[in-house]
Parts: sequence; structure tokens; C-alpha cells
Amino acid sequence: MRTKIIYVIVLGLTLLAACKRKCETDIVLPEPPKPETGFVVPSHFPAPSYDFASNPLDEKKFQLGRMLFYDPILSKDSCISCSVCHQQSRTFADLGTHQFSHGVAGQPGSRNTPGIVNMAWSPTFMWDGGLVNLEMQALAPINNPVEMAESLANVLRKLNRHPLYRPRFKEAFEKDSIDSQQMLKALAQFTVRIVSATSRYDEHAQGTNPLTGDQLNGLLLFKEKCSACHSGELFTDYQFRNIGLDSTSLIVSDLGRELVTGLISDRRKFKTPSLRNVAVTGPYFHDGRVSDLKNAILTHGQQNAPNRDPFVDDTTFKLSSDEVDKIYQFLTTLTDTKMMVDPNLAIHASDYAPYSIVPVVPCLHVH
Amino acid sequence: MKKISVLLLLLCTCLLLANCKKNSNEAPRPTVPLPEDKYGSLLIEFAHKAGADTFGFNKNYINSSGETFKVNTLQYILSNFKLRKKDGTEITLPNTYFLVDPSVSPIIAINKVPEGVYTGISYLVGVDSATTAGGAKTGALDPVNGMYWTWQTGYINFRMVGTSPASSYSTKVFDYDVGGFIAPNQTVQFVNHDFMADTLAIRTDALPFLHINVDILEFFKSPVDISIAKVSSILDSGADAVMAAKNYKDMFSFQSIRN
Repeated sequence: MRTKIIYVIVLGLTLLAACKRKCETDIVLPEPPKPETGFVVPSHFPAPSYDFASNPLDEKKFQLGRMLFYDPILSKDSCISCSVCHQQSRTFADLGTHQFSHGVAGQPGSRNTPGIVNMAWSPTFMWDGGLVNLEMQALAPINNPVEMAESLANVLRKLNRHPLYRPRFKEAFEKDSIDSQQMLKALAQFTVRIVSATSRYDEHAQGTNPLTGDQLNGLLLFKEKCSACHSGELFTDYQFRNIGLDSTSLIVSDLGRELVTGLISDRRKFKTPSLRNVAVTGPYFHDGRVSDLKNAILTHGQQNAPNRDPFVDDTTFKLSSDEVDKIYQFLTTLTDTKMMVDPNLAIHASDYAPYSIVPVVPCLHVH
Repeated sequence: MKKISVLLLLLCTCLLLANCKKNSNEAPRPTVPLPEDKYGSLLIEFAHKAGADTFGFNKNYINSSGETFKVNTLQYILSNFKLRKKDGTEITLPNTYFLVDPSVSPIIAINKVPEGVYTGISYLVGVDSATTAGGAKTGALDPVNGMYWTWQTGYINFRMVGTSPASSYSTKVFDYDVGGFIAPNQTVQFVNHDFMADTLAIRTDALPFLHINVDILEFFKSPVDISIAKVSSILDSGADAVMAAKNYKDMFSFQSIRN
């Protein structure tokens, strides 16, 4: 009997050891991301297009990405962080106080800041789709003279002499100095996790809480009238289309997709924007020309222009004010109030402790 | 009882082993490389020329349109090197991406080349589409090198900057940043050299030198004459970049091998 007990104890200890023991020859794996902060494909979403294999999720890298996202160290005047134009409270669009966001020295940009949610699913970036990789996308605002106006080399110099970033990067990437690859991969670790899939509509799509009344009627009408382009659960087909806006363009002519392809057939085409959080991410369209959502719905198909998309032909796309109201009612269900307050996506002052990221010189021109 | 104890001990051992194995499956150790003695190295020197003359920065040359010009910056990316054997089989040399800047060094070194006798080489001027569209890179493809457009995905495959009285700019500068990786603006060029009667012998105990001529005058001619007066700058992808790329494809020609 006693030997039996001993055997049971030995077996128990071995089991424990088997679980706990780290085999010396093995590479120690980073801890898997915690479910509440990790990247989860929502059950009703398609497969993401971001190449996670080239940048496996890692909590330390994610935290570094979050630090960088909220840190104006990326800009020339230490005033503009990614979050200045991509505010969590606005589902990572701008506050909507200006037609165009303002960069260093208060300079306005020339295109409307999009809400950067669900970027892991996006095959291209920017209104003209000129960028095809999320990691490399971050270079665009850093280099843009009216956004962060900073050189990559200078950003890396600043990060490498920073008492906090250097050791943190070393811990996460196991390299002696911070290079552009580490910085861009860290930022992507954060941006891929900005997922918007917990709106009222998502409860409907996942079958937990169906829409009713005007919202449901709005959805049915939306599917009939809008979903050819604003398709699927991401509410975009990621194609480039001209909806006739250039006929009343108030700003310097923007050739849109033609700037990328050089094709006249792509003139003034812009990417179909996702409509997730559309009710809280005005102003609307690539140039932010319309600030009211109902107006934005109506604007489709109202103007004619060469190269206009047949989907918004004024004979096929004609909405009564009642229909606009219904579609509007549905669109409000796409607002994801949960992600707006998701603490994992918010700035963490503790990330930077014992340092502060408040600029020494007040940045009066920001908003 | 003894049987049970033996079984239990076996079970314990198995559990420990299984645990080790499972972890190694998750993070596999690199596969054992082929023995080192099967690989050699290759040096390639790009001998920059302006026609029959040796190229030098800030020296006056005359292009096919009769325009005098000086070059102060010359940089280009070469990639995807392959060596060819007499029987036509090709050896791909993995991860071969080089930024050539003659103001730094006209020589590149390719390591881990399988031993053998080769009769030809091919490579791309520029970066292949899959790599261009991929994520952040280091080394020759690190965007910090300034050979990357940040507002539109794409490497600057070839850069030549200088001055010319013919330039349409008041500063008399000409500035060619040639890139573009998606049709119809594809600029990546495939270059192939046959070593003719020569052969390249890769061995562990030797360091062969392959010399390739790079004639900058070719940038301005064949198939199309590029006039600095008419095209003083190329700063993004498009028809001009495609035209320039077709021209500079034949800048590169085989010179000699020193085994």
C-alpha cells in the first residue's frame, strides 16, 4: 500500500515537472498573448490579409507598438503622435473639427483622416491604395512634410538614445540597437489589434441580439442599395471607385488611384471606405467635404462626372428622404462603443514610467 | 507490483520526453546545413564606365543627345542572383539583395555559393514584387537607406542624380529615381550574362572575382534616347520610369572572370 502511495506521488511530481520543466535545449517561446489583448478573428469576419507569420503576436512588441503609437517622438517637432489624428474616442479617426487633420506646425493635410480599424483585413492602405503593407504604411505619415515631417533615420536616432525604448526593444527583439524593421513591426503589432467587431450590428450578425424596427429595415435597404461596394462584414470591397465627387471639388484636384497606377481609367477613384463607425467618423469622403452623414448618403449618385461608377448612376441610385433615414438608422448600429474605451488600445502612462511623454514645449497648434 | 512500478517509471520518462519534444516542435531548430566545405564565396566588381572611359563622380560626360552632364549620386539595387551551369541548370542564391553605391564600394560579396563550375549569371536590377510588397526589411532593403518611397509602396530600384546645363531646372539639376513594381509601371529588369568561353569556378579554397561593366551612358540611349532637357527628373513610377528602366537594363555587361 505504502509503495502504491509513493508511486502515485512520483507520478504526480513527474506530471508537474513535465508541465513546468523547460528543456534546456529548447528555445523559450514568448508567452502566448492573453485572450483579452490578443488578436482574435471575429466569428463572422473573413480571414485577415495581414501576414501574421512574419510578425508573430507578442505582448512585449504589442506594448512597444502602443507606446510608439501614442508618442510624439515620431514627429519632427515632438508634437504629433499617430494618436493626434487617430483618436480612440473617435474609433481611431480624427476629432472631426477640421476638414483635414493638422500635422507639424499646424499644417493641414490634403485628405480626410480615416478611422484605422480592422487594418489586419485591409489589402491596401491610404485612400488611393498606394501602400500595400501595413508595416511599411507607418513610414508615410512619418515622412510626410505636413504630417510628422520626420526622417526615418532621425526617428531611429531618437529611439536609440531614449533610456526607455532601447532596453525595451532589446528585451522584445533581442538585438543591440533599434532598427526600422523592429520599429515598424512593433507598430504593426498594435495597429493589427485595433479591431472593431463589437457594435450593435455585430450582435445582430452573430445572432445574439437581432436588429428590429427601423434599424432592421435600414439594414435590408442598405443591402439592396449600398452593399455592392460597402460589402461584407468589413463594409468595403476594397476597390477604387469614382462616385462623381470631382464635379464640385472645392480643393486642388486629387487624381486619387491614378497617382498610383498612372491609368486615366483610375482618375479620381478612391478606395471604398469601410462604414464601420461611420456615424462617429465624419467628415466624409476622401476630402472631408461633407460633415453630415445623411448628406453624405444623399451625395452618392447626385453628381455626375466622367469616370463615375455605374453603381451610383442617378437612375439606379435614387433615395427618398425616408430611405435615407432608414439607412442612417442602420449605420448608427455600426458604432463600436466598446472598442472606443478598450483599455488595451488606450494610452498607458505606466508604459512610459518613470518618464513622461508630455512635450516640454506645449503644442498649441494641435487641435 | 513490480510490473506496475516499471510501467509507471516508463510513463514518467515518456511524459518528460514528450514535453521536450512538443516544445521543439513549436520552435524547430534550424535544419542542419549541408557541410560547410561544399560552399564558396563570390566577389562581383561593378566596373563603372562612361563609354570607353572609367566613370568618375563629378566628371563631365556627353550623352547620346549631345548634352554635357556630371553625376554626383549613383545607387541601384540588385537582387535574386542565379548562377547557371553548362547543362543549363540554375542555382538560386537565396537572400541576395544588394545596394550598390560606387561612392561606398563597387564590390559585392555573395557567400554560401555551392561549389561548381558556372557558365552564366542572372539577376534583377531592382527588387522583385513579392519582396517589395512584403513587410519591413533590414540590410540592403532597409528603408533607412533612402531607396524606398514612403507615400507609395516601392523601392527606388535605380537612382542617378547630377547636374547638366541642359536641365530644365534653374538649379541645373537632373534627378532620376526610378521605381515601380506593378504593371503597367513595372521597372524591375532581368539581366543575364553568359560567360562565353570563360567559366566561373566556385571553390572553398579560392575567391573568384567576376567583373561586370556598368556603362552609365546606356541610361540615356537604346531603346529610347533620354534627353536631360526633356526629362530632367523622374521622381515616381510611371511611363518615364519604365522608359528609363528599359534603357538601363543594358548598362550591365559581362567583362571578365578571375578565378
